[in-house]
Amino acid sequence: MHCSEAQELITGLVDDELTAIEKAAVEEHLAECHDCTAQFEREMALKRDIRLAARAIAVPQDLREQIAKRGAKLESDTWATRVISSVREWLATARLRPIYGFAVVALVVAAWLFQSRPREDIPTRILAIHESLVSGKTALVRVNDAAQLRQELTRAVESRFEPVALDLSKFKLHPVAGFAEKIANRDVLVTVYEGDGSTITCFTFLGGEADAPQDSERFFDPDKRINFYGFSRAGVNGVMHREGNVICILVSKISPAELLAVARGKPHHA
Amino acid sequence: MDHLDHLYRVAFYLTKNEEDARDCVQETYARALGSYRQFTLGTNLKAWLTRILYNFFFDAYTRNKHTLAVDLLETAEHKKNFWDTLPSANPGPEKLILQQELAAKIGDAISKIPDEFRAPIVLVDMGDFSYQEAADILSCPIGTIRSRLSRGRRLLEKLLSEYLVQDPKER
Repeated sequence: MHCSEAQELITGLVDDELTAIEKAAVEEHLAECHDCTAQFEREMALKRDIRLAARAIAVPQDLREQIAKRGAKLESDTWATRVISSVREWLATARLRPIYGFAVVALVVAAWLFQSRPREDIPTRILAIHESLVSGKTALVRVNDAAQLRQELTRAVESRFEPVALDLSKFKLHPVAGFAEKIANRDVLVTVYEGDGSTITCFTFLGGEADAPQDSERFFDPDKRINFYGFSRAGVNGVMHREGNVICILVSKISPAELLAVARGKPHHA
Repeated sequence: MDHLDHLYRVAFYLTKNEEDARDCVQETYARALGSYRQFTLGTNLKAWLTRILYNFFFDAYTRNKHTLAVDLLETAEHKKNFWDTLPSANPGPEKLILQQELAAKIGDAISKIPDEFRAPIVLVDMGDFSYQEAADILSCPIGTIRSRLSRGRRLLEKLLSEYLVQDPKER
């Protein structure tokens, strides 16, 4: 091995990030090369000094307090936490102990009523989610590996279903982020596609054609022999179709005709 | 909160000044709180938060959407003194003071190397991320991490050569 080949391997050796073969090769070289051995020792020492230097940086106390307050506020705003802290307050008050039984019954009834409440409209909610993503109100955590994203999304719903596999590369769109969301008590997988100035969000969930919005327009694809349902709300367009027991809804601000073409997998010619 | 110190350090060395580091950390937590549903329980929270921070830093600072706090970098005198005024959690005995001086020199050297080499050093050497984790955060191949680390450390060695003792075993 030449010294020039050993340089990057030395870095990997310092960080213990070499394969067994690479490690054996570079260690064999170091056994014979004083210069590279010295380089290895210098790089180890530099890494140690950098780590020590990092420890000299401390979070300013006022920033720590600000972040802590913001996190505490979020926790206190959740519904479940409000209920739990109310129960804790009751439990802590000796005079109210006889009322615990009534409080528990009240909670059970409230939970039953909450579960029985009319379900939110899925199409309206997903259009709002898309708008929130595009406007930046909801930040995207971008990923580099589409296959890994798909795996993580599938895992998020315990492999009960997978996000619909869409190849939008011919439309110059690629998956850039994704997450799982609960809508109307149903698990929905969200995949965001971006490219060429456009954003299309794909929502996948278990369902049937009855999930199509009542005001949607149906289009029957004679090639695929499936129905596509197109709908719009406040300038945002959606197209739904079913693949087995999985529903896929594509949402975007591109024209309904273009979105339908994307859903059908066929380039649109205006 | 567990990773606040780590995030602040990463932000500090990426942005090279306290004001922008604070902005980065605050924005990171704001985005994390707004996107917590995207985090899968059981996976690496520290890496997830760092990715959010780095994405914000990249979008806001390397694409010139914000300017760095120029007043902190402009004058030669301020530049000379800035890294000497690092906040320290444990001021104390002589050894710690020397450590702070070394930290200042290293911080100054790190601030001088290009972003593409600085980011892997900040993540791997300071953040203790593996090459794979750093590659995921920076959205680049693992091989790129290793080569940039290698070149970045060589650059730092040159910049610190006047300060560091020749024989690393003596440090």
